[in-house]
Amino acid sequence: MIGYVEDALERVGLLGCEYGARITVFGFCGVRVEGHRGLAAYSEEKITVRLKGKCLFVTGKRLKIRELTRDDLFISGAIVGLETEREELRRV
Amino acid sequence: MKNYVEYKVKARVPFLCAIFRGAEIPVRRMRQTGETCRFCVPASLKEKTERELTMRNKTFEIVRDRSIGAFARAQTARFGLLLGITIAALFLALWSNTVTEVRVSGNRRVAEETILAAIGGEDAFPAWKKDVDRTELEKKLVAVDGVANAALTIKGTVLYVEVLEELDPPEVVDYSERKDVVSSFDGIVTKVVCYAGTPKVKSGDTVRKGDVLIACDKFFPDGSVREERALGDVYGRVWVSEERIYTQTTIVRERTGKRVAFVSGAAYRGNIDAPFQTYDVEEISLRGDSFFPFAQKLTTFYEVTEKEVPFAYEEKKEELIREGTARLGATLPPDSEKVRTWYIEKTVDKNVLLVIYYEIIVKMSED
Repeated sequence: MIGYVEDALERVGLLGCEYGARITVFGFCGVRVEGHRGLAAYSEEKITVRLKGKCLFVTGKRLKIRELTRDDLFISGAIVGLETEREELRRV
Repeated sequence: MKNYVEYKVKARVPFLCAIFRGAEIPVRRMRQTGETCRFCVPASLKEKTERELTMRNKTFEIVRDRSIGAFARAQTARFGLLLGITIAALFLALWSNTVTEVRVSGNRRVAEETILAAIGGEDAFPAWKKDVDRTELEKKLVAVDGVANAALTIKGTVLYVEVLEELDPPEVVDYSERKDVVSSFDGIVTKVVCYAGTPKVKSGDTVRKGDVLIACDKFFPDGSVREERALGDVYGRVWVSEERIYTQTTIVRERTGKRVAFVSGAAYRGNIDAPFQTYDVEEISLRGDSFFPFAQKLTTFYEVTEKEVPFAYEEKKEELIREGTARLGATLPPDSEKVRTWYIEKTVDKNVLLVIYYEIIVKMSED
């Protein structure tokens, strides 16, 4: 029986590919980032998460870091938007 | 999160995230308040967390310590609570190892007091379960007259005693014993049934208590006499009576309402001084139950005053006659046939003499 994740990857054509971090959004109330490389910035309106070769900007209101481990990051709050940007550009 | 420690550190969230991610310390509920950051770590990683922060010259403050060790340290200050819990646990442990109550079942002829006395009496309990030798007690119970077998079980704090009684013993008559049949009552003989021996009375004879009704001598036509045990039933008409004198006045004891109660242990055998000059006393045995196993005695003294009041005989006459008749009737032999009852009353020196009679037909012979 194929799992949920495997089934989703197959449908988007990424099964067996290296896709980097996995970002899961729960109804715009919470975000799970698997495979992060730490935080670059934090505020209650914007959290910048470092990924491999990218940055993930989580914007919203009353953002809180629920749990942080080496590979997993859980953010809760009123999620408004998610943006990414290549890290090299940020350095520039 | 249970079993955690909450810290407050003057640092930025990304900086701390980088530290804890590198040290593989999971962090929860991280939030920034101005210049300080609060977060929670598992209590097992408390030392590692503090070491990492100290290495980076970050001062920290423990906001909340929910570790088991901190909880234990906090509880040691609650001496009273711990002492109470200890005493309660000790009491439960001791109580569960005692037998506090005895319940007897299966006895019909043998009195419960006899059975309890055989296993040590009421004073033997409460007792430790390990001191209750059921095999020994069963042997003691079997030695009691009327008990054929016994089984003892302990369930909880109750000792259940189940006895099996012996069958009723048969009546054994020694025919060689020289014994007459004598009368138990004064009366007039109505019927004689003789099985062995020689009847000395016939129907219509007047006999007194102790007279021989059937003699143990048996006479034969050849003049010989043989002694044997006399057997037979002799029935007769007997009159019983009860007389009472009722005066014009009577002493009545009335309680004033004052009372004093004392509670003493069941084993206390001393006297309790009465607090009143004239009193009624009431004693109640409080048998222990499974909650409070120790038997106690409640002694209550009620103050009374005695006063002489006129006694209205005529008003209470019917009630007195009824009570007297019932009282006399209760004393009659159970196998007697009541023929009739009546009463007479006489006035003697302004007092009333009430005599109640019963005429019965009863077996007059003693076996």
